[in-house]
Amino acid sequence: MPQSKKKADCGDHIDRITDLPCNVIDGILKHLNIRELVGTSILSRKWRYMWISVPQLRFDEEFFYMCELHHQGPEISRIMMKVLMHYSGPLYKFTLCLPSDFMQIDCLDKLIMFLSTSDIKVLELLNLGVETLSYQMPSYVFSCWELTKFELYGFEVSIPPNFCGLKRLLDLQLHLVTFESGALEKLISGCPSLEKLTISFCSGFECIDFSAPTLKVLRINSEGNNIKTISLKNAKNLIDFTLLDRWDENDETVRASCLIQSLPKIRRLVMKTYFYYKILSAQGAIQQSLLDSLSSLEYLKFAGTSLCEREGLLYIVSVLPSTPNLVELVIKSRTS
Amino acid sequence: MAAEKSSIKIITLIAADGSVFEVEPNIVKEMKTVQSYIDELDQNTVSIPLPNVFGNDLAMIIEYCKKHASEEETKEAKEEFDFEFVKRMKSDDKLRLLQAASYLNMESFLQFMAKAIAAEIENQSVEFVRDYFQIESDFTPEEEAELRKENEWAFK
Repeated sequence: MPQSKKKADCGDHIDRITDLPCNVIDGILKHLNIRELVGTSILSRKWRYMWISVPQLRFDEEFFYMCELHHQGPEISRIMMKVLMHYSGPLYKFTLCLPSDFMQIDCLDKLIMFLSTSDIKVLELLNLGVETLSYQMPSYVFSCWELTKFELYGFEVSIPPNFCGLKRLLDLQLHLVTFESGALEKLISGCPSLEKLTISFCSGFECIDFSAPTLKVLRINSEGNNIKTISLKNAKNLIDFTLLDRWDENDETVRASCLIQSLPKIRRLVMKTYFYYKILSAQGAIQQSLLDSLSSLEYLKFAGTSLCEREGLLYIVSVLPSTPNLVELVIKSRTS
Repeated sequence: MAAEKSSIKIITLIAADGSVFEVEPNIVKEMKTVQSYIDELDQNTVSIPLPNVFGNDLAMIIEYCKKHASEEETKEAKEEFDFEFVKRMKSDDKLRLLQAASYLNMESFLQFMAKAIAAEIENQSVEFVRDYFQIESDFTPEEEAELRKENEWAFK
């Protein structure tokens, strides 16, 4: 009998994976990049369409470098769109990572349009070549209203007039993003559930001014551009705050002024210099309330203090009594 | 019901080869298959047969669960443990543990094994992946050539 002979020939040749439940196979496939994923379609007939329902898709640097070796720009866009046409979802997470020194792709509009029709929860859009090639982020991206995590790197952003907010967004990371006037504020005020916000090396605004009562973690890194005011009207739930800005000892005008009324739950503070700690804890009439509000502080770090700066060191020592729960104090010396 | 459950002190797990493991209730919390079994029983002592998991594999899974259930261990120590845990395993062990995790319905251990397996097939050829999972291709050579051509970019 041919059938049983075939089986006997196979011996211990027992498929280790194909008949496992979908969630198990998806658990493996979600770690593969798009090329490896599409590659699984020729493993066997059962595998032909297995990849089209994996919940995560990733077009990373490896994909673009490989494409660049063999294809022209329009061809790369065609490949990407063909993959998306075959894909059935449901899509949970999507990653696009355009390498630096890469040619222009012309399917960004279609790609974002595709994403906006899915129920995507986690979105990472990175343009590492922002210094040579910049893209305007298509406004449909703000229609991905189920997003819980959104990372944007190296795009130009304006907010459409019909923006209804990203009501479920918990984590927003913005790096090297150029905002149209007023766009940053509009974006943040449309995210009422936000718990974690990172703004680093972004431009197009002079003030960071918002009320974010749900915010727990805030990281602002403005080295390279000039933020004049950082104002948090309501930061009652903030537990972790990092503020690193452009520092110039001789030019006080490049320092942002920091207007924060109270940080009742703050546990971790990281500042470039003691200077911010000083303005945080010395704002006229509210000085005492703010100092009191720092009583739950457990970790305090000054990332760029000059150890020759006697005033700074003395100041740091003088504030320690108002932080009774401090466990760790880090003073990092600024090397010139 | 709640009082009865909390009175369970020790759970006995019996592997496919008959080897016996006695564990505390918090160790099996992540094993949903075992947990649902416990929830259905009223007795104070519980003995659960696991005909799809071999003793050696169950010992490793319990070791993992003990480490991760411990409140004394730091996050770093657990990560270090995970790293060493994967390092000492052969490909075959990983696949068996993945199947066991699927049977025991252990979400985080399943994801852990899936990631370790994905790392082995990353950047590998179709032939390697077939061999690794022992998948038998039922495409004719012509069909396979046709499919390769269709998505040529993925097979460079």
